[in-house]
Amino acid sequence: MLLEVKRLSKTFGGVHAAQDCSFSVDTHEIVGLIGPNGAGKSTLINLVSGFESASQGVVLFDGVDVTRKPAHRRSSLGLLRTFQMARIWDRLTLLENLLVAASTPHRELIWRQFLTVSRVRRAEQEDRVRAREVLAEFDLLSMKDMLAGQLSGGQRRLLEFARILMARPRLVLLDEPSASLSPVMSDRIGDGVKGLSRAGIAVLLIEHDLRLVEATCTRILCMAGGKLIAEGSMEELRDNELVVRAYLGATAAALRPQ
Amino acid sequence: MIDFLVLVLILVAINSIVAIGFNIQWGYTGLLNLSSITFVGIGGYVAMVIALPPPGNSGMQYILGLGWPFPIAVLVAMVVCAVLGAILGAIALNRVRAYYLAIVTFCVAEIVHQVVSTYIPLFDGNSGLYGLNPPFSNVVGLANYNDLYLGLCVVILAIVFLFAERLRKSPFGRALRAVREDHDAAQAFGRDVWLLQLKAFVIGCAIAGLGGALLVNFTGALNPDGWTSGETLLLLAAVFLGGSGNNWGVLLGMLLVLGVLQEGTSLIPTWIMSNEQQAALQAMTLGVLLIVILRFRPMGILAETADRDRVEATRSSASRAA
Repeated sequence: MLLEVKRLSKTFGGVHAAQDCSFSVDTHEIVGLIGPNGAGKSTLINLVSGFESASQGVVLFDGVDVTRKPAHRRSSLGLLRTFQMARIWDRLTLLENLLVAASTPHRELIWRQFLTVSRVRRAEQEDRVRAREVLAEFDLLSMKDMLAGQLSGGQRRLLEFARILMARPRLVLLDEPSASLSPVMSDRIGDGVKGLSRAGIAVLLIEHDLRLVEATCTRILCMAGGKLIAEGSMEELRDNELVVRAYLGATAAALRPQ
Repeated sequence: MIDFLVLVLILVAINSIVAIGFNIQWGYTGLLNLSSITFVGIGGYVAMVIALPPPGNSGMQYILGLGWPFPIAVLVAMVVCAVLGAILGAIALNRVRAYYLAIVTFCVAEIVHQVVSTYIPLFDGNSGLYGLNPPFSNVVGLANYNDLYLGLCVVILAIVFLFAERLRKSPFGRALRAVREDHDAAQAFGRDVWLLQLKAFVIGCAIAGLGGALLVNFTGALNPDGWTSGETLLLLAAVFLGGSGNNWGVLLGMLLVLGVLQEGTSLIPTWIMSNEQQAALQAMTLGVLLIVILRFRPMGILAETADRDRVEATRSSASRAA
């Protein structure tokens, strides 16, 4: 298993934001994580990525216990995440956004900028070539020298996908990539998710757009009240009493096939 | 008139060095270091006590008094500032919020200023230190000395400038800018945000120390008034006016703010305006200038330049590789 989460819990002053969550994601898998608002999905992502520390439980990434490792160390091991709002570097160009993603802290050591100039340049050149290819894939190549802050909401998301491809992680946690985007755009996001998978990157997809989840994920986890309450295909979840109850009200309709 | 111009240019050059250090912190990394001037002071002090002969009967009180040559004094000043910067940064950068650093450094600047102006054994209190002979003056003589010192300062400024530009264009500089734009995202992409910020902070402090050492070696004296936050305002105004993140902008800003505005004011005849009034006018124009820039052109005269890719954006270059 690439990612193994065992009995992970987080309490904020007596409130269980996440409780006893256990699940796993294997290489090449696209796993969905759904649940009503406030279910604890984002907390779970924060715990797995290291942006919040777990009260209890263990996170194993590729067999390594990363539970106490800071976020940037986990990322260096190949465990990437995104945020609910697309977080790109606004006053860097599109190309620079990708170059930062592709570069490593090792290459950014200060003395290297002066003493191994040619080696750094060569590595940069390779990254630039690849960055242009990746930008072309997302129809962003013509804008490569624009500042990322000038992009529209949908393009920001696409740039985020491009950045993930550049970083070549082993697993990416996508936090609601279709949030606040038009339905047309959400198809594009679906393609993006599948593109990551084709590139050999495992995906944990947190999403409210169940159509998108069904179209991309092989296995789906359902969360409610800080607990994982069900796991299976979309078909199985639809028949699950707990899941339907968690999605009571207007969203229950969303579970039905369209 | 020429003599006055040389004097002004020396001050502009030295302050530009400090401003470039400040730019690495603020412009590149988004760290608002309001104790920049404190590190200029520390650098000046360290350079002074290393270059001055033992206190003896001079009536001043200070430590060391090694009487070592100028280059060593400058280097030690930079190292001391780097170490102190690392300590301050390690404490103040522990919070990811940008304004936290601004508040801590502002407080540190005030505390240090009070200590320096009242603690006699180390700093000789309000009267400050003086009597430092200009470096190399025994070799080159005092005639036309300022011209030579201007040359020295310009050379050092050029080195600092090239160093800063190299950093800016390097992967390291790009990572700093990514940290400035969104440190969470930088962290999510494997960057130790705290460490990157600390590196930028330390580099800036060392450069401020260099500026301080050059300054005291020129003036020959160090007065606690030079450590006040009013001096920081000059730095802020110059960098904000010229363009945060753009080193050419920083040079331009310092030339305009210090060279034209500040020193230009001192040309006003005293029968129009007394020296005190001139000082007040300078401080006020700086304040107004800062507000106007931030309101109407926050990126400064010369905005930060994006790193343009040299290859044209055609699909062919991509499809060929694919």
